[in-house]
Amino acid sequence: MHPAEKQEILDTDWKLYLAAKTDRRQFSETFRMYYPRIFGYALRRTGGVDAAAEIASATFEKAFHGFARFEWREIRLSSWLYRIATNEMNAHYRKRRFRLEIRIVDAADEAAMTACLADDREALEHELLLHEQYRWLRSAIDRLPLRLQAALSLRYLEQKSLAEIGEILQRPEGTVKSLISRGTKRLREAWRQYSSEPEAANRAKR
Amino acid sequence: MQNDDLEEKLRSITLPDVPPLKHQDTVMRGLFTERRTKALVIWIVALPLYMVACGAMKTLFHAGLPFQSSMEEIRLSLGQPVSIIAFLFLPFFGLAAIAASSVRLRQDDAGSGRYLVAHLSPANAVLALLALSIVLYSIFLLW
Repeated sequence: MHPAEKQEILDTDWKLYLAAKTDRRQFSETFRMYYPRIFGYALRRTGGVDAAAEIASATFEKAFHGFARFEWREIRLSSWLYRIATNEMNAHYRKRRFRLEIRIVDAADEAAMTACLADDREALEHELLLHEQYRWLRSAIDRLPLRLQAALSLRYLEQKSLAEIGEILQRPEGTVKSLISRGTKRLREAWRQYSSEPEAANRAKR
Repeated sequence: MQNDDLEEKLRSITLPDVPPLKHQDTVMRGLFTERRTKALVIWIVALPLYMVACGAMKTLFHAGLPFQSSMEEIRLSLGQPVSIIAFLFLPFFGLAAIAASSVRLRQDDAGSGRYLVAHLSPANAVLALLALSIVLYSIFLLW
C-alpha cells in the first residue's frame, strides 16, 4: 500500500474514532464505513453468507458496546474491528458442532433482514462461485489449526501486511511471519495436488 | 517449490469482492435497539430463577411474598385438578407452542454442525417468560 493511501486511511480512522468518542451515536459512521469490509472478511473466511452476516453483526454489536473501553493508542480502529471479527470467527469455528442461540427480534426487522439477505445472497454466492482458486485456498486454510487459519486468512484472503496482522492478532511481527511460514508450508502439498489436476492445467492454459 | 514462491502465488489469487449490501441498514437498526432486547433477555433468565427461589423458600422455610398468597388463594378456590391444568399444563403447552413456532434447527454454512436458534418477537418473549415462571412456580406450589 502506498504511504499516502495508508495515511489517508489512518486519518479517516482517527476522525471516526474521535466522532464516536464524542457522541456515541456517531458510531453509525464507523459502522457504515467498516461493515462491508468486516462482512467481506467473514465471507471470504467462512464462505457462507449467513455465517458472515452473523459474525459481522456480532462484531459490531461487541464494538458498539465496548467502544467506551477502546483506546486508540493501543491499536487503531480498523485493526480493533478486525481483531473482534477474528475472535468471533474463532468462536464460530469452535462452537459449530452444536449450539443453542436465543434472540429477541422484532418481527418486522427479521422479515426485512431475511428479505435483504436473500437479495444479497444471490449476488454474493455468484461472486464466490466465480473465484475457483479462492475456493480452493479457503477450504485448504479451513483444514488447518485455528491459530494458523487466522494468520493465513488475514494474509491471503485480506491481503494484510505482517505489521497489521501482528496488531490484529496481538503478536509480534516475527511470530506472525513464522506462523505464516508454517501455514504456507502446510499448504504446499495441497497446492501441488490442486495445480496438477487436469482442470487446473486447462484453467492455466485459458 | 519454495515457500516464498508459493506465498507470492497465494497472494496473487483474485478474491471475491463484496457488492453494496442491502441488509446493512437492517443490521444497523438492530444494533441501536440492542440494549432494549438485552434487558428483556436478562428478564427471561432472571424472573423464572426468582420464581424458583420463591418456590424453594415457600417449600423449605414456609416463607412467602404477597403474590404467593394470592396464587395460593386462586389455587384453593379452583381445586386441585383444575389448578393443575390452569397453572401447570396450560402454561406448559403455551410454552411448547411458542418454542415450536420460534425454534429452528439450522445447518451450519460449512455443513459440519447444527445449531438450534430461537428467534422470539418481544410479545412472544414476554408470554414465554410468564408461562415459564408460572410452570416453575407451580411445580413448587403443587408439590
